[in-house]
Amino acid sequence: MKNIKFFSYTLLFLSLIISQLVWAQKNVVLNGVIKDNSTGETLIGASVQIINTKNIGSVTNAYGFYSVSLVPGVYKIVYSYVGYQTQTKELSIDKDTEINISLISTNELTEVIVTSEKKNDNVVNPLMGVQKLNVKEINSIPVLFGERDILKTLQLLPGISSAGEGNSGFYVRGGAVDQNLILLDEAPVYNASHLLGFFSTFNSDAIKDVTVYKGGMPAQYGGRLSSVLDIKMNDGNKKDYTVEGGIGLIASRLKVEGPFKKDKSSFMISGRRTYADTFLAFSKDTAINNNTLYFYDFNAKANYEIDNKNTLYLSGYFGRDKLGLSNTFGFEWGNATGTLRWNHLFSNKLFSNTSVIYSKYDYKIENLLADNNFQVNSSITDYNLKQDFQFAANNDHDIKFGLNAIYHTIEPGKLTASGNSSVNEITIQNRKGAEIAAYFSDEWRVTEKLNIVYGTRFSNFTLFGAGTFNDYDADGNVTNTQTFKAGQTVVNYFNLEPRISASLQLSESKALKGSFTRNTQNLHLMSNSTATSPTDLYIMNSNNTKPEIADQTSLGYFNNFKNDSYEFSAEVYYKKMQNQIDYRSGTDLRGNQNVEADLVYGQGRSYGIELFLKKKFGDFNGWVGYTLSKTERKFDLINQGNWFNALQDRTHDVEFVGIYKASKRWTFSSTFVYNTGNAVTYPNGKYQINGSTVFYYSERNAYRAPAYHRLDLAANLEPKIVPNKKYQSSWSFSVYNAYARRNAFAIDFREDPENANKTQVVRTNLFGLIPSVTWNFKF
Amino acid sequence: MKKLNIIKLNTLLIILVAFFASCEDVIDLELKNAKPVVVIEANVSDEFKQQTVVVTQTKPFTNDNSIVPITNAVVTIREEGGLTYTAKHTTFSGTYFTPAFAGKQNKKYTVNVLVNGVIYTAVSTMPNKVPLDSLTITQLTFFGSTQKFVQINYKDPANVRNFYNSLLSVNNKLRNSYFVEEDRFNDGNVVKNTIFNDDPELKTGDKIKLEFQCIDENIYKYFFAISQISGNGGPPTAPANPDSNFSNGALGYFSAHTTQIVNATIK
Repeated sequence: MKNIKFFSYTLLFLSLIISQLVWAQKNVVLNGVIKDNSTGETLIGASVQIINTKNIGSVTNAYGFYSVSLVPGVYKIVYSYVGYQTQTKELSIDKDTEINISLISTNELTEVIVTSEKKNDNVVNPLMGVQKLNVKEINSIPVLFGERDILKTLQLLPGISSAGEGNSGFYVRGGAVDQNLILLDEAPVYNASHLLGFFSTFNSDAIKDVTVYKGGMPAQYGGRLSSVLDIKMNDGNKKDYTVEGGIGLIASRLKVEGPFKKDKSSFMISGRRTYADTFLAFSKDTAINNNTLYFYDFNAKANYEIDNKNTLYLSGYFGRDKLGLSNTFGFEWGNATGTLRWNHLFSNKLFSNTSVIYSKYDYKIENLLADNNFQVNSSITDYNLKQDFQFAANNDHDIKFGLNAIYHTIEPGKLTASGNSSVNEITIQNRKGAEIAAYFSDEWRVTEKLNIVYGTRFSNFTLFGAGTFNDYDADGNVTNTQTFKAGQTVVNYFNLEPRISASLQLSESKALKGSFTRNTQNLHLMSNSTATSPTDLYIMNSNNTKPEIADQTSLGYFNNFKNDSYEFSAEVYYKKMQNQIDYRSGTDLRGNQNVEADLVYGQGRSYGIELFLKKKFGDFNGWVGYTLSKTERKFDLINQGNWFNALQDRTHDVEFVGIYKASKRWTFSSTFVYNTGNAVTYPNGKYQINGSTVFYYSERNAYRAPAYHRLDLAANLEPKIVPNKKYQSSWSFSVYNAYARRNAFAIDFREDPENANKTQVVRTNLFGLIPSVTWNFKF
Repeated sequence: MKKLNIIKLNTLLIILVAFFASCEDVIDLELKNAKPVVVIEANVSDEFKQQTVVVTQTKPFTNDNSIVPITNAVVTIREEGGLTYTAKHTTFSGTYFTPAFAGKQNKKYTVNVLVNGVIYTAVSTMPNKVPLDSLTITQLTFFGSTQKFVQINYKDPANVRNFYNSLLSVNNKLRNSYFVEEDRFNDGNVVKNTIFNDDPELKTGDKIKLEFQCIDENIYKYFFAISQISGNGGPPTAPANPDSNFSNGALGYFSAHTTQIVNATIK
């Protein structure tokens, strides 16, 4: 039955598209690609504005491609992109026309770009809850140990908060860390952090574009509840060979890029490695210098423009953390992704992208002690096929549709041991599942003032055998066991995810926006620590675990002023989440064959208001954000079935980012963050068991950890600009936690070591004031 | 796997602490006081002795760690298909003693505790006894310092689920009430497990007393949950009370278990 429903929906949206095709006959099409003039890199989200019409425009897609339908006539066309000089062309367009544009970088982010045109895409665009991070901006913001980090910079935006001190894990509008879809060149990244979360897996050298969707996700994205973080790697310089790198306090980086064939094909290779363990080697003690502790990242990409209708891209990421204690213990983990893409223009209006994507996350633990030696391997592997179409139907409709099929294999744990070990070899059954989704969305300019993006995502999840599958009762006892053969369907879930957002233009610089989005999630991360841990386990939907569902409604007011150099927005949202997951007390996730017996299911809700004021241009720029929000969860078996504050709940969240260009060479920047402390569970009493003190808890997360605040400072020294000199070097100095605030990483309760008859509260804080320096070079 | 957990978390934390210079301080917090709740700690072992049930209640966090005894409870222990023993309160310490008897393997025991009109009931089945073969001292090196640890050696019976707990006392002081193990990963094997305990380190001349218990699954889960919330490193998820096998919301546990005590002196 479900399949019939699925096909009838598919037919419905195909017929919609065909009807769009018919309307589109009488127009001519202007299309092309927008690139950076010096590197040949395509520009994502660059704007194309047709001035002397009813404000028709477009932005380039992820491949720099744009397409606009017009009635034949004479037009003034403005091509612009932040950080680039705007170009204006006046053309008579009476037949289909292809115009490729190369924009010139102003090379200095803070320079005032004088244009008579409006940079008000943030007001006109019907999408809301969207933020784009400029990689240049990221580079001038202070960070821990001087390691630029897009995930930490992201946490400086309203509605996005850090999962913990120095942690690259993040919560979006009350969602959990695993409810963020993190895509690197379309490949999902399952564990985006290194070294227990202190660094992200994204080396910003290799990154071209970062877009985050907090709500109102376009229909082409699916699979996670709370956000989409879409990261695109650099394609590689198509004009010249360049080498750049940096030497920092804890890591060094190197990037090489250049053309294979000028203007046709190029490559980019970028690597980074930390050297925390090289400090260990300085120790004379063999017990210390035999230990290992490091991570590395490797990004590579190549592209080939076959002709002006076909381009191929191949990109990959490989990163690994390694931790070893001499002769006793080894632990390593990492992600690998690979993406092969083919851009094809069926016509000047119909853009197609086909991607074949591979993604894997795995970890390995080795215990080398002779009597109990063992090795544990665990992984999640995806094979993913995506077909996306973008169709510029006519000047009022821009249509996107496509298909996505992902085959997941989860290997929860495979335990192996050598003959003399007391440990038995055990393999926990692999789980296999397929997600198949189809989507359709239409950006419709209803009137000059009203823009609507509406669409739907149809998502289907199937869990396959082989294996035995248990049903559990409310107490976690097995009530029924069924065995399935390989390829047999265990359970199937179908979800319809409507997405709609609209903007109503009040004036040229003011708009009201609204959106409704449903998202579903078929993979769930099991973690019994508040910090992200490399051994966290992914599970799929099953006969017990149902797809998580979130419905989000948001409303916003957007206002640009002072000639669009200031941008203000206020957004309110309400999000309702179903089929959320938590654990019974004492759940043991390690090598657990029946994890689901320990799971409980409930609901969540989150609501809040986000205020954002940004100064975009000038010697002094930056932003201030404020979020007031509430996030709660409810489970029958937790907290007596009452609503309780979620781990992600922060009442107030304030962030300030200021960048000041003091001279041609010196840039100073500062960030300040303040947020209400985490909702935490503290004891409301104590008792004795077996002669030691046990704490009594009566309410979940009813207390607040002390408020978190921190000031960071940075200074960047740019090289003198000498014409025709290729070699350049720059310095970055930064101070993390400038006034050495002792922010609580953990609050623990224990017996007083001095007086066993008393208990005490102990605060652990991780980072004091941490200065760092990084030297960057380029030639 | 227990070992893995401890090594993993502790070493990661040691390394991180060493690099990032984290530090600790004692702070004051204002904590609410919940209404007192009944706490019952009941044990039946296979040793012939007066079996004990301790009935107390919770107290405010800021008070000292002495117990708050409940002295007016009515306590009985019933053996499946056998006698019912009444436990008597004698010393105003909240401890109730049965007449001396030895619990039997594979028998189900039921405890009833009546406090102020409410009956709290728990059931536990004494598992088969697995003998502890020996206790040895092992040396391990972490970051250049060599430490001594107690190692327990036993043969796990094949094809049955077994759960163990070890209580370690050093110089007559109880060090470690929970060192729970199960045979999920070593069913049927000769097991040599190190009991990690390092504050203070064991030294030559220390007198060791180790009680090795075979416990039932519920008690394993209960002790595992307690050891999880009492902070085995890392920021844990929201702590909660361990699931007690007592009815009506009492805290604590009832364990019918076998016991074996081994004494040794560290050389």
